[in-house]
Amino acid sequence: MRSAALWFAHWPITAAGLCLADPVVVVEGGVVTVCSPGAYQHGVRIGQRRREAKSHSPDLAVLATDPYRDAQAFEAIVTTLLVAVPRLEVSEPGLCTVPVAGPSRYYGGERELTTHLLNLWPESSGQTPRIGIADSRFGAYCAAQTARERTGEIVPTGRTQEFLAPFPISTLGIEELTTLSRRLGIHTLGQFAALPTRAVLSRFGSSAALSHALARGIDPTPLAIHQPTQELTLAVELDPPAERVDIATFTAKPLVGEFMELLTQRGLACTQLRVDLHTEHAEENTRQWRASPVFDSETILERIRWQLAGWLGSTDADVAMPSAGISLIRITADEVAGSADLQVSLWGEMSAADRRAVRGLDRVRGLLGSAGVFTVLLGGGRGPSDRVHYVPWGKPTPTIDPPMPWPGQIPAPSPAVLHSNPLPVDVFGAAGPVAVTARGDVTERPVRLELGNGKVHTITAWAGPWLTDEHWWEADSHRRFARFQLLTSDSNGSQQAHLCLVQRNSWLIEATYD
Amino acid sequence: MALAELLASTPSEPGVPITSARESDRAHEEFRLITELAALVPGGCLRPGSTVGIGGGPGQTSLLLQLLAGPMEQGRWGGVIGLPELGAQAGVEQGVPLNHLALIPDPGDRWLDVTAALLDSVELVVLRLPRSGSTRARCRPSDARRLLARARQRHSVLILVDPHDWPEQPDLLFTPAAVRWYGIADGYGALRSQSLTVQVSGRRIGGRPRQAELLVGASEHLTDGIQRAG
Repeated sequence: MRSAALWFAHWPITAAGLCLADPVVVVEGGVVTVCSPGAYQHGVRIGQRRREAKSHSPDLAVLATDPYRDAQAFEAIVTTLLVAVPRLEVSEPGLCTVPVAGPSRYYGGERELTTHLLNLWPESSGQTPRIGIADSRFGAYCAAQTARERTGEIVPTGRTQEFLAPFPISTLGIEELTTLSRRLGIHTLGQFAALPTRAVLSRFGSSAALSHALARGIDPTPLAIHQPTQELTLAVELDPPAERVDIATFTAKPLVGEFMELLTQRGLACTQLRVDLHTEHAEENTRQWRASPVFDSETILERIRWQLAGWLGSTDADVAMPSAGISLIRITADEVAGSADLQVSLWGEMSAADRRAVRGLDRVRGLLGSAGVFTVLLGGGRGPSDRVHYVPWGKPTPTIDPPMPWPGQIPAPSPAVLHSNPLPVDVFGAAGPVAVTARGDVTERPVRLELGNGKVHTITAWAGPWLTDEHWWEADSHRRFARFQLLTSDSNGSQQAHLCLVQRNSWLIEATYD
Repeated sequence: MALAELLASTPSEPGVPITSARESDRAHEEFRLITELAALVPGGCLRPGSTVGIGGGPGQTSLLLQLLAGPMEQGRWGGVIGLPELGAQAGVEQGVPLNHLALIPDPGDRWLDVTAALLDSVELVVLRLPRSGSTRARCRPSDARRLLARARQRHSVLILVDPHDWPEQPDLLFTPAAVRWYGIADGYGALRSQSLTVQVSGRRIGGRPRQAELLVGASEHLTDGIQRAG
């Protein structure tokens, strides 16, 4: 999707109301994490110890990391931006993306859109976004990083991969991939993008396949990201309404847990999240958030906290503060992906063995395609093969009938072998072939089982019939049949038990209790 | 694309774990079998890096499931190659958790690559050589040795169904010797439980094969009955 990225460089410093030209750093755990251009000129670098940074620039202002402050201040930016464009996604405070298609038509072109957006923040405001436009969100973000301050960088349609080619592989921000690729002599996104997708998938696994799509300048589709078919949404009402960020966040905690469970049950992972906040006075605040690669409960809670802080705690005059406490919090998954692909990043508690297995199965999928590897789910149903659902590895879990006691179900134990092609057999009693009457009675006691290959087994015990009348309301798929368990022994006295199906007086071995 | 070939041919996982003697003991414990089978095998566990054969005959599939049940209940992963007819419901009833199970029903002629990839990543790899037409695929002795080396290196266990097609002798050979069914009679009742006589032979067993009887499907039936009665 063609997107524009707005990037406010060194946002935590701007958020604190300080000027980027002054020597300022943000410090976390005693180490510089953000460094203003002013400080950079004095020789301060990211990763330096606080003491060392101070020695380069004696009048250095040192800020502590404060995600709330960053989020709160960014709310004013979002409010300003939403006047100009209808929809935007916040990746993190300081970075957001806008779908370009609509707005660029409205403003008469991408160049005009860029100019219009840049003019929202006059030079005097001290806040100047860098704007990049490209065919994918990642491409737009990279373009924004190289954009000059007052012009923006527009990558022509279809040229994003080319544009990204010279960027180093570390741009993707995945350390493991960077090290591994460098060892193989891959240093740039261009080299990485030139590898065949299949090779990347089978060698590096699906998280790298995602990076591969990014490097090729497309929004990652291999993950089958899609709009959920059912509304995946949950809300919690706050009674009494909460006026403080921490109280509201605390109330949202179980909601987030429930939401994650809802997704997990369906085998989905959320890639784009919408958070709605309502007040008692029917004021509303809605924001869309995007995570990379997916949201877990912690990151969802963090986005809710950011949004609450932005709305309730804003000091900016442009942001209309709510007049009452928060009475409702709703979270909705706007975009989801099948989670088997993302399991590793989704469930932090996966063991090393689980990760290893997921990687290996990804690799097998790379060899055979997704119709080659399956996991199994059990659902409801009468026959043994009705209950088994094979889910291709990496596909979202389908909705299936729950595994409940079904009328007409054969009791446990279940047969260990389900014949994919049921074997036609003949069953004889003392007088002749055994049949089942319309009322469900056996015409005769079965004593002999003849297999197609001429082998004959003696039936030593039998049970049934279990009658089934399936889909009687539909003429086409209506099936009426009976099931039997037959215990046979061959000439050596070895026992074998079969599950047989009788339909219109022909017998089939459907499964074997092997 | 020389680079792509390079990628395809490099051994797939970086950082093979180097384990001390004590750690390999612990790894041993990870493959502990269910009680009845444990009694048959020295140490009661499958040895990481070993091969296990499951001989043919009635009861073969249940024997396979019983063998998987012990280690998989402790969280080991299982990958089953070339058994499209395996009944998953029976697996669950016999203690094989489905959330750690992957099925590759028909690997076709890529079975060697698939087996190698699984031995890298999954602890228990079950393989039956795929049929092509009426004959089974053959495994060359050199390929079998390479797979074994991989299993040893990655501490996984290769379980061969119908091992007579295999060029090497498995370390342990489990064979279903006899099956008896209970609960079914002449026109009434239903199959309830199965007694499965298992024979084990192999290098680690010594001269005479050992034998044990497993009762499959009984415990669930009993608890079921107790719950209903209560």
